[in-house]
Amino acid sequence: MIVDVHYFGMISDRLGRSTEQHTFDNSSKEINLRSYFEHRFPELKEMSFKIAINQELRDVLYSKESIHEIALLPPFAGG
Amino acid sequence: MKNCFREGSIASDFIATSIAHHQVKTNIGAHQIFLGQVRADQVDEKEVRAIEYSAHEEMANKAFHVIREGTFEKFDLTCMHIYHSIGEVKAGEICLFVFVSSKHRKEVQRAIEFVVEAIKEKVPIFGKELFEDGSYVHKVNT
Repeated sequence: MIVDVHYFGMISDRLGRSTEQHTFDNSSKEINLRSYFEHRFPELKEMSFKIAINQELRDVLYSKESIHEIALLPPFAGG
Repeated sequence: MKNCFREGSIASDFIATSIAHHQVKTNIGAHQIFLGQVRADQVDEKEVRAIEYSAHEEMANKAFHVIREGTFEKFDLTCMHIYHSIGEVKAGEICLFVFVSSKHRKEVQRAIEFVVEAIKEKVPIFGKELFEDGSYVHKVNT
């Protein structure tokens, strides 16, 4: 499954990218996206961030579920 | 889904017009308004010139919607409006405008605090504090 991954704020800055596509194989197992991204980008280990799957805050991509969007969100700063 | 974002600062004229629009709603007895203003903080001896806001806009508008629904459920309000800036807002300018109205003052006083705290905690908005020399730091709500 090919998924659009969006990076925001200081995460986008740090990783030098705002959107890219990642391929996930969750056909037989769930995937912990926090571990996945921290492995892919070790600099994330020292950053605080939330993960949104299809705009819902959670870390785990369930087995066999079909999704179209993942977002990595740094601490909120509204207001 | 309503778009709660406004490009740049929220002008005082816009706020005044919004207040005036409520004159026809004569069942209202109390309004409460919260205005967030960009502060010229000192960070490492440099002064903040502006904040540049970005957001996951679609997700943020959904979050504003959920906050709005939750607030109407919790408090007896007549109406409610939320506007947040996106893009650059200079120090001294308004970046957040929350407007709640009800029959009585106690409802709006409690509601405004609830809404503003929820916005700071739950809406995916991000900010960069920009300095005169072109450098910046990322803002984080505390």
